[in-house]
Order: sequence, then structure tokens, then C-alpha cells
Amino acid sequence: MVGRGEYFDCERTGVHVDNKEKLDLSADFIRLLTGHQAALLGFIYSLVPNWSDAEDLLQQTSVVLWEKFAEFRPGTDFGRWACTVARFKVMNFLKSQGRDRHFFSPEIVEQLADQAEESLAALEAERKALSYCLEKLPVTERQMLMGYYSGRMAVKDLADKREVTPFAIYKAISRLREALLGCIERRLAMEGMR
Amino acid sequence: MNEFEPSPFLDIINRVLDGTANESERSQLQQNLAKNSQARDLYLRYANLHCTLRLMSGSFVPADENDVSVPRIPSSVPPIPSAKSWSASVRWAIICASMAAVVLLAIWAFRIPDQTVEPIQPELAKHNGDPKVERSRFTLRVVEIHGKLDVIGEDKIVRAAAQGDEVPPGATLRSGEDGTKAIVELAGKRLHLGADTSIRWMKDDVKPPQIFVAHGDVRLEKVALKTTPAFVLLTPHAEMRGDYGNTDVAVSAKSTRVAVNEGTVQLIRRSDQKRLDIVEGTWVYASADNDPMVPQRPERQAPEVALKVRADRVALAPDGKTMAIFTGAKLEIWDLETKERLKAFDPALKRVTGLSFSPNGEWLIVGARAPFVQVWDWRNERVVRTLESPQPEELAFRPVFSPDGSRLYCSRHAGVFKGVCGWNTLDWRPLGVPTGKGKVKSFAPIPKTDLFAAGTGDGSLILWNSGSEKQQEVLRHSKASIQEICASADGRLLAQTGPEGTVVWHLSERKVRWHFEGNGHLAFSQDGKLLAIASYGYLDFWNSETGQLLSTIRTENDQMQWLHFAPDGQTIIGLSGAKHRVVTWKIPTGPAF
Repeated sequence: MVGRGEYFDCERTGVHVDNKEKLDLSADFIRLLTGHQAALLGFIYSLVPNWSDAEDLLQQTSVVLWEKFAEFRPGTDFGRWACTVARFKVMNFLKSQGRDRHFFSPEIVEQLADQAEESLAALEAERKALSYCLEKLPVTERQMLMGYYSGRMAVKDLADKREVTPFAIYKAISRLREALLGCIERRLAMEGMR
Repeated sequence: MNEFEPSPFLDIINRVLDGTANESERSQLQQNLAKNSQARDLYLRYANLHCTLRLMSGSFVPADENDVSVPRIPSSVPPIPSAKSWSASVRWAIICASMAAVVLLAIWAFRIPDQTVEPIQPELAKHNGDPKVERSRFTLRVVEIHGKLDVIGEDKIVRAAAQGDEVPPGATLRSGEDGTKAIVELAGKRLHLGADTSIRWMKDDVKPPQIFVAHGDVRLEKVALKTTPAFVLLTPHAEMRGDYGNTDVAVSAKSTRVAVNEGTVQLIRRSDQKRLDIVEGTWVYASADNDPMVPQRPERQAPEVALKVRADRVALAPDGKTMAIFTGAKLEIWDLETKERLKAFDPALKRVTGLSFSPNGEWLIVGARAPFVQVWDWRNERVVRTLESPQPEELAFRPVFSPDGSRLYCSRHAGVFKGVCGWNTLDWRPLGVPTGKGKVKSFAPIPKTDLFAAGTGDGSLILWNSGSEKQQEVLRHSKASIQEICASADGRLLAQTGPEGTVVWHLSERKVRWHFEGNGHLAFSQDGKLLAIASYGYLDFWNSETGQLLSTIRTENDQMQWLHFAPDGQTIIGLSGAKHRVVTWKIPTGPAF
């Protein structure tokens, strides 16, 4: 088995995209972006835990990704690349907000972003396992959880419907989150991913 | 039901993510996130959960409680609002792609399963380049099916199982939900599967141990596996069943060691059918001999903290006493003997990922991101050379010099390991690294030779000559990825470890000396006689020649991030992942050593 292997040298290879290829880029881009959007939004939301800001940043990031898509090398990790772009967008956004205490400091965001980038695959697996775990929840609890997260039912409405206090609803939601994470753990362990 | 009280920290995370936290709670969360990577990990998982639930609930319409539909994660996050720079063609493409996706989904939903799947061929094993292909000694065979039973391959291709099917390792069997019953057989053992049950056969063939991870209604002979998920381990020495994930198993050719961190595991020795319940905090060593199979209960042994300074990354100089530490902010050089800090300087590097000394101890390489690698003359606090990554935003992992110091290598990481880079340290010319297309996850120099060994994600162990820059040989024990490699100081033995266990090679013979289940960080003693393996909560000492387990230290609940035998031969040094401290243990002594 002695032989010359393929060399992996450290010279940077350039990116060459001609005009003809650009016609195919949009389809590739849509495919990649739709496949990674949930992960990308999760990444941004973890750095900026405000839903409407996170959605805005996702939109801005998507635009930059499209503008720079010619620089993306097919076969490399689109999710990773997208997160790098999103990270810059988030940092610029935080800079524009000054020292608003509603947001994390840039240092924390850097740390979180580093860790989140390394956990992309694990978080993706958790997202997939969540669908399975939601199925295992009793219908009433699933309805309550979805009502809570959709924002279409106020906590007070949920409480009135169940004839409990809003505090009990918060507590129940907390318990459900714990149960879901426990289920995700077990599911991933079963699949040999933990 | 017990009243649920979330821990205060979880409560704060949830309140921040719900947008209901006050200023003091946000500040408290920030402080925790700043100093603790576990806190960041927990926060990221919760953020992911909140985000996914929000996405799933995006299409949720409050309905009556009879609506049992489960929301799905949308394939895209609708709608993406228009932006000035968002071209019309892209918007049009989004619409087309969405329509195409709907059509494809409809086709997929109404597909005829048998027409769309490929048969899964039983796995065959090749060893060490030997052209002889061995058929598995152990096969998982479907004996009876009453109802629906699917085989799901590693590549997620699904097909219906048929009676007599042989299921390859790595595949999952899943039974249907309504009244399915099935019997499968492995190594003469029959497992009875009920409805809505899955079993994954985890182990490669030809190796002795076989593990199932089961979820649902499974019976092994007359014993019901009540835990879900549960696992069954069949080794040459013992059978075992119990909770998955809380048990540490090490199987060598001569023995099986089972250590239970939580719950109870039942062990049955094959030689005399002796049954034993192994409870939390104990471990048992079962071999073919009729030795007394008695549970051992070692007390948790706290290590000695060698240096009272935070340590995120460490490297030990060849003199065995000078240690470089990255504290999270600074690079510090310490004398381990006198516990004196010799130097402290700010490398101004983003994200330090690895440290290593040159063979003469004069230079310290720092692997990082932006810049990629820095070579320091640490005594004079001077940067000798800064090396940039081949691609932007890459991390330099496991920087290391060749044994003669003339070459320097590190692996490139950007979400995944992307290969190995090398430079000549005389003229800083980039070197060819002939590791092929396999994703190199770990590599190490082999002392006393010009060889380096690289372990890839597909289980290949590539030996390359750093002088000629040519690949010399590829060894392979199994398809399991190789996550860490360590060679003995005399260059005779090489250990590789990964999710499916640890393998020790005799390099001159190019043969596997021994292997066992269980993995962790590796270190050979200076004389090469001992191999230490640090797994979560345990530190095992093996005879590196014979594969005999000599002693186990039950450590605290901690995973060492780095391990090294001290030159005194009596101490082993580790980097505690939980404490972020350099710690030491006395190496056990006794006749076996």
C-alpha cells in the first residue's frame, strides 16, 4: 500500500466564477439558504435574543450572502460561511446600538458565536429531534406550547382557558421545555449521537 | 407529580429568551456566560429550543384540543422581505424553488417505498490493507416478522426488512406502531421486539463486543429490558444490560470492565453464568478466568491542583517542568516544580486553540484564529513568525513540531477539520501534506522517525514521511473516525482513539497489538510501558504491550482535556475540563506495575 497520496497543500486557491455560472448561482443559493435558514436564525437569535431584531438581521444577512455568493466555494460548509457573515452583521448591529443593556456585550457575543459555530451540527440534530419529541407530548400541552410561542394566544388567555393563574402557565411552559430537552437528549443518545 | 422548580439559572435563561428578564437578570446571565463555557452551552441549547419552537409555531393556529397535528420546522423562514439589493431574479427563484419543493414533497409523500430504496448490503471488513475480506462472525439476522419492520441504513435509506435479512452494523431496525412483533438474532441470542421499537446495532463486525441501543419494547431471552433506551452488550467474557449513557465499558481481548456512573447494570459472566448487579459508583472486571467477580467501589479521588491559575490550553516543554498555559486572556509560562510563574504576556490572539513547544524548548507555537499560528521565542517574549491560514477564519488545532524541529504542522478547522498544514521552519516555506481527501481529525509525530500519523474521519490511519512529503502507508482498523493519536516515545507503539474504542498498533509490524471499547484522551508513559486513558470520571492505566488493565482511578465528574506523564514516572498531569486547572495524580503502584 505504499504510494503517493493526494497532496493537500496550503496555498490558497482563488475563486473563479464566470458569467455563465452566475445563471446557476441563484438556484444553488436558494437551495443552500433554505436548507440553512433555521440554523442561521437560531445562530443569530442566540446572539441577539430579540425575535424581531433577529429576523431583521437574518434578512440583512441573507442579502449579504447573496451579494457575496460568488465567493462561496461549492463543497465547503455553507452553514459555517453563513454564520461568519451573520456574526459580522450582529457585531455591526450591536455597535449601532451603543451600550444598550438589552443586548449582550460584544465580548460575550464573540464567545457565544465561537461556541455556537462549533455546535452547529449538534444544534441541528437537536432541532430534528424536537419534532419527534413534540409528537410525544400530550395534545393539550403541545397546544399550549404552540399557543405560547406563536404569540397568537396571550398568557392570560391560555390561563383563562385552563382556569389557572398566568404564573401556573409560565411554570408549565418551563416544565415542558425541560421535558423536551430531556427527550431530545434521550433521542440523540438512542441514535448514538450523544 | 413533583412540583417543578426550574433552577434559578435556567429560569433566567428562559426569561431572557422570552424577553421578560429585567436588567439585573440580564446582567447575571452575562456574568455567567462570560466565565463558564458550560453555561454558554446550556444557553445555546435553550436559545435553539426557543427559536425552533417559535419557527414551528409560526404556522400554528389555535384549534380545539382534538387537533393532534404536530407542527413542523418550516423549510424556510417565511417570508423574506424584499430588500433593495435583493435582485428580482432571486425573488423569482425563491418562488420557483418553493413551488418545486412542494411538488417534490408531494411526490415523496406518495412514493411507493419499495421502488425508491436501495438494498443495504451487509458490511464486510477489510483489515490493514489485507485483500482478504472476512465475513462477519456476528450477524444481526431477522428471524420472524409479524407486521412492519424497516431497516434504516447509516445513510438514512429505508427499506422494508424481510425474514432472513442480515442487517449491517450501524443500521437501525424499527418496528411499526400497530401490533408489530419481530424476532432478531445476534450471535445466537434472540431478541424479541414489540411495536414501535427500534434497535441500533452499533458495533463493527469481527470485533468481539456487540452493542445494541434499544428503545421501546425489547426482550432478551426471558429478561425484559425495562429501561428506555436500554443497551445490551455482548462480549467474549460477559453479557450486560442496563441504562445507556451512564456506563463506562472497556473490553479488551482478555477482559471486560464495566463501570457504572448512575443506576444499575446487570452483568452475566459467560464462563460460569454468574450474575451480578453493578450499582452506581462501582466497577467490575470480568475475565474468562473464574476469578471472584466482585464489585469494586473506589472512592472518588480528587486530584492535586498543580497550579492555581486558570488554564484553557496547556503544553509541557521537553524538560518536563516548564509549562505554557493559555489562561483565556494571557499566555503564561510556569515552572511546575517551583510553582513559579516565569513569564506572562499578551499574545493578542483571537481564540487560542492549541499550544506546543519546539523539541529544544525554545519556541512555543500558538494555534489560534486571526492570526492562524504564531511562533514565539518565549524567553524573549518575541514573535518569531506569524503564519496565516490558507482560508480565512480558520482555526489552527494541534500545532506540533516534527521531532527534529525542522517542520511545523497544525490542522485546519472551520466547523469541520479541513486538513493539515505544514511549514519548513528554516525558510517558512509551506510543505505538502499528503493526507489525501480524508478529513484529518488528529495527527501526531512518531518519535525516532520522520513519520507522522494522521487519523481521518473514515478510520484511515495515514502514515506520511515529513521529509519526503510523501504518503507511506494507510492502515485501517475500522471505519470509525479517529479522534486522537498518540505515539510512544520510542516510536514503537501508536494508539488511536475514537467513538468505537481505542486501538494500539505495533508500528514496526504494522499490526494491531490490542484494542478495547472505551476511549478518552491518551498518553504513553516515558518508557512506553503504560498507556493512560482519561474518560469521563475515570483514569485507566493499561499495560501498553499486553492490553491488560492495571488500575483505575475513579476521578471526579470531569473530563481531562489533555494528559501527560510527568518525567518522574510517578505522576500523571492532566488539564481538567471542568475546573480549568492543571491537576496531577499519583500513578498507582503494585505488583502489576
